[in-house]
Amino acid sequence: MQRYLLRRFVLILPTLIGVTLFVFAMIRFLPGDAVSLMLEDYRGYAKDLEDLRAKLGLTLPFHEQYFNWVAQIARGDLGNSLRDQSPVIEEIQRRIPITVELGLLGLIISILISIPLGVYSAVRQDTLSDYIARSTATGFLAIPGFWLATLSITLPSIWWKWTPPLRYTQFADDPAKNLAQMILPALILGIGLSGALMRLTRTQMLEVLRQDYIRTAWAKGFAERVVIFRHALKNAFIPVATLLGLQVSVLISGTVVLESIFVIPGMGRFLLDAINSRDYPQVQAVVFIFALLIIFSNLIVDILYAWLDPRIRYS
Amino acid sequence: MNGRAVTADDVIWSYNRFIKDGVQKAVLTSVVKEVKKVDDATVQFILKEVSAPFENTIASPIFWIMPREVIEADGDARKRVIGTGPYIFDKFEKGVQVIGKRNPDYFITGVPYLDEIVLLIIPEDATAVAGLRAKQIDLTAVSQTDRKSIAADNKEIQLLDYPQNLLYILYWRVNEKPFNDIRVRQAASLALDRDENIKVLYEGRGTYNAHIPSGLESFWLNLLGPDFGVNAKYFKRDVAAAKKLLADAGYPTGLKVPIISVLDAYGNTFNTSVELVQKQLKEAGFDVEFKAQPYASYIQTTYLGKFDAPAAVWGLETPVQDPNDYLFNMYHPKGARNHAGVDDPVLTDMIEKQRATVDRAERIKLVYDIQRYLAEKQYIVIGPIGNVTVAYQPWVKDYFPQSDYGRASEQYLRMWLDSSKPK
Repeated sequence: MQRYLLRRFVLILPTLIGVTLFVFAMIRFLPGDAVSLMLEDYRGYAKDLEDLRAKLGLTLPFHEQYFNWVAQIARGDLGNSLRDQSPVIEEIQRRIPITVELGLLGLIISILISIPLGVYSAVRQDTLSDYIARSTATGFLAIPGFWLATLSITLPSIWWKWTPPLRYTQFADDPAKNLAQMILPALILGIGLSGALMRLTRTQMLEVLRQDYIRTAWAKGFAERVVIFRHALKNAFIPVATLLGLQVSVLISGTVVLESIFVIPGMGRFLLDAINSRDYPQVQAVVFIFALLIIFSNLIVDILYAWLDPRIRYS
Repeated sequence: MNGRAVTADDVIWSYNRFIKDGVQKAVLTSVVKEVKKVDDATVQFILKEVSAPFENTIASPIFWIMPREVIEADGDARKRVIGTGPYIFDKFEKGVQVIGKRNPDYFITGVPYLDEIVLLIIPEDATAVAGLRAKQIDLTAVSQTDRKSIAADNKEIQLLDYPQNLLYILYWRVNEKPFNDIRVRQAASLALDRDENIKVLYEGRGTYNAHIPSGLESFWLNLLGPDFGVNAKYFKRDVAAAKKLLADAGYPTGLKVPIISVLDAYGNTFNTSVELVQKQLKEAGFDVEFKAQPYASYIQTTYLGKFDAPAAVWGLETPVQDPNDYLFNMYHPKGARNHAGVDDPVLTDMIEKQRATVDRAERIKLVYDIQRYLAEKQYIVIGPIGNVTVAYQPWVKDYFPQSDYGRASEQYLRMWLDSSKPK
C-alpha cells in the first residue's frame, strides 16, 4: 500500500507541471493581443504597453517567466488583481471555503440519493420501483441545473413568499442561516450528480449480485441486509468511487452557475466576475486552484480505490 | 469629509483636478473662466459668458468634491471612498454587498433618515425579484416583464414607474464613409422599428425619444405630436424608403456594416435590443456583422469615438440632468462624448445659443429647434425608451426616482421605513 501511495504521489508531479504550464501558457496564447486589451481595460495600472508587459513580467523569456511564476506560487503569491490591485490569494482564501462547503454538501446529497436508490433499483430489478428509480435518474441527468435553480428560487417566492437568504452569512457566524442559504443549491448540485451515480451503482450492483460468491452467501442463509451491504456493495462501489472523483469537475462547473443564481460569493462566481472584467491574473489563479482541486480529489479517489480493492495495491 | 469640514479650498482643488484629468471636463471648461475663493465657505465661479445650464452641470455627478490629502497620499481615488455625501462608505465585499452608514454631519440637517444602506450585488434578475417577493429586499428596479407578474401576484408591492432620461444610440464616424452620407444615416433611422422595440423590450410601456430623452420632459419635443414638423418622418419605420435611400447613396444591393455593442454591462433588456436592432437593420438592407466588445474596453475606446469606420455602434448614453449636457457633449466639437465626431457649425451655434439663453421658455424653443434639426441630420440615430419601474415594499417611504448617477444623495436621501417592516 505504501509503495502504491508513493507512486501516486510521485505521479502527481508531472500532472502538476503540466497543469501549471497549461494555465501559465493560456493567457499568452489567447487570440489577439491580450495585453493591449488589458491596457485598455486597466489604464490606471500601467503607463503604456511596455510598462504593463514589464509589470506582468512578460518581457522575460518564456521559461524564466514560468519559473518565476512557479516560485511565486510556491511562496503562496498568486499575483494581484488588475482591477483593485489586491492580492488574489486573499480573495481566494475568503472564497474557497464557501465553494468547498457547497461542493461537499452537493456531494453528500448526491451520495445519499444515488447509492440507496441504485442499490434498491438493482435489488428490485424490473419491478415498478425499479422503473420509477431509473426514470428519476434519467430525469436528474436531463434537467439542466440552471433551469432547476431558477425555478426553485422563483416558484417558492411566488407561492410561499419564501426564498433562501440572499445575504451571505459565514458558517462560523451563524450555521443555521448559512445552511439555509446553502441547502437549496447543494440539493440542485447533488441532484445533478446523482443521476449518473445512481445508474452506475445499479449496473454494478446487478453485475455483482450475479457473482458466485453472492449466490454462496444467499445459500448460506445470510440476511438480505448482510448480503447486499457487506458483500455486494463494497465491490460494486469500486467503479462508483472512480466516477465520484471524476464528478468533481462537474461539481466545480456547477458552482459557477449556482453561485450566481443563489448569490453565494464563492470561487465559481469569482471566476465569472474575473472573466467578465478580463482580470487575467485572477482568472489564471482561479483556474489553477480548480485544477489543483481536481488533481487532489482524483488522488483521494485513487487512495480510496486501493483501500476498496486490494488487488490494485499488488499489481 | 474625512472627519473634517468641507472648505472652499477642497472645491477649488477638486475643480482643478477635474479639469486636468476629467474625461467630461469640456462641458465646464468651455464656460468657466476662473474659480476664486471668497472665504472658507464660499467659492466664486466666474464664467466666460452667460450659461443657463451651469448650476445643473456643476451639481451633476460628473464633478465630485474630494479630500486633497487622501488623493495625494493614495495617488488616486480608487483606494479609499471618501466624499461629502449623505452616507459614509463602510464596507465593500466583492460580489456580495456595499454598505454605507448614515453621515451624521451631512450638510442638510436631519437627513438621511436611514442608519444604514446595504446594496446587495445580485447578478440574476430572477433572484432579485424572488428576494423582493420574499421580503428580503426593500426595493429593486425590475424589468417590465417582471413588473407585470409582480403587479398580478404581489399586490402589496408598490410599483413606481417613471420615464428615464436615457438614450439608446446608434452611432458611427460621421466624417468617414459610409455614414458621412446623410442618406445612409437617415436610412438607418428609418430601419429602426421603434414600436417593436417598445413592445418587446418594455411590454408596450415606452415612448419615442427624440435627440433629447423623454425623461427630460420639459425640453423633449414629442415626435408623435403636432409640433415636431416634417422631420418626424425619419423616426417612423419605412423599410422601402430606407432601401431607396441606400440605393441613392450608392448601395443598391445593401451595405455591409460591422455593428459593435456590449453584452456584459447593461442587462437583459439592452441585450435583447442588440438583437432587435440587428434584425431591423438587416431587413432594411444593412448587412450587419455583430462584434461584441467587453464593457471595460468599450467605455474607454469606442464610447469616446475611438473606433474605425465603417463600423456602427449600438449603445446607451449617460443619463444627465440638463439638455445642454446631452447636446454639448454629444454634438459640439469640444464635447467629451462626441462619439460620432460631429462638427457642424450650424449645430454648434445652435447649441451655444441655447446654452447662453437664460429665459427658460426661450431656451426650450431653441432646444426644440435643435431636435428638429437633428431629426433630419441623424448624426446619431436614437432608439425609443421604456419606463423604469422600481418595485418596493409597502414599508418603504419617500423613495426618490433616479435620474442620473447620484444614487445615495438622490434616491435614498429622504427615504425611510415604517414600522411594518418585518424584523
